[in-house]
Amino acid sequence: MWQWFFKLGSPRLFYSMTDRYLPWLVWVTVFLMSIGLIWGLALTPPDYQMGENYRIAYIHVPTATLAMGCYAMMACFSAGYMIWNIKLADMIAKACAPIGATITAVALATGSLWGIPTWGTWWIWDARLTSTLIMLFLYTGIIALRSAFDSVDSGARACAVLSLVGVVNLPIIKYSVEWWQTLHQGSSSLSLSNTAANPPEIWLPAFFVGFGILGFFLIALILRTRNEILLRERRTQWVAELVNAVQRREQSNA
Amino acid sequence: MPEFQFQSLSEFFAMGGHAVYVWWSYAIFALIFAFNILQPLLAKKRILRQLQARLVREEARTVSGFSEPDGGKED
Repeated sequence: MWQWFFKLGSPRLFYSMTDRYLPWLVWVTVFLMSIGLIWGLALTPPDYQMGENYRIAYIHVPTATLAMGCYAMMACFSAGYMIWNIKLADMIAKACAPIGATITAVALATGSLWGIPTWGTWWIWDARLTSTLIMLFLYTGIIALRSAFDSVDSGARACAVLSLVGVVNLPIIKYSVEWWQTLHQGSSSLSLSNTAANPPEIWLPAFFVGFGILGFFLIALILRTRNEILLRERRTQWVAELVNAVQRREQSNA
Repeated sequence: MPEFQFQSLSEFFAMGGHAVYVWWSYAIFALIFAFNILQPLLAKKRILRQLQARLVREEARTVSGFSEPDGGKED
């Protein structure tokens, strides 16, 4: 009954499936991104208080959301590795860490650039900003921890434990603007549930950029995971055949 | 139908006096996302080269009957 589930954990199947569907994902992402960015930057009306500056929201909000989503995903795959010992889950979790770290850095940087004109400061040590900075440190800590191990399995287990412990930070980030007094605004202003305050011309471009950024993330994640598969499965017959096929193609092109 | 919200292209680039913040935000975003795509693509080329070299080495070993002391683990 659970055979399909463990079949999904086959690195070889992941490699061939992504081979087939990656081009589609790339096209959908480029489509969503180009529409969303042009719309958000040029076609949507300016905010009555923040003027043109609020256009930063179109990348700040989805990157910050994705930074947390990436952490949750990494923790889920870490749990999958710990519970069922699925190697592919650990490879995906490993790929999540550097992407998540860079996305968190983008969220912090765009937040600072937004904060200078609207708050008058690029940084305050409030709950939202500090907990997001902690998430950046968790990501970098997980990357550093893995590189400290010679054994792949010990590194994977240590990183999985750290990832799971760090999950406690996610609700703190999410609810920080409700639990504590802060300069950071709540999530209402771009929330899809609050349609009265947000006409479609505001949230529709955000929808496009949001899914475009999600596509970007998935492409980066798949590329990194595929590299990890090649490295860890290098002694298998199918990788040898794949390498030989690439070599033959290069020779015929040369 | 959404319309272009600026009077001219130069006003678009000025972003109502917030050009520095808006365009730097988008530039940082574009750079980091481009890095996240290009870095694994370059790494893949490097990995394939390494694996090719390893396959050639192994072939030579099976032909000559020579085996590495560590069983070829260190690569």
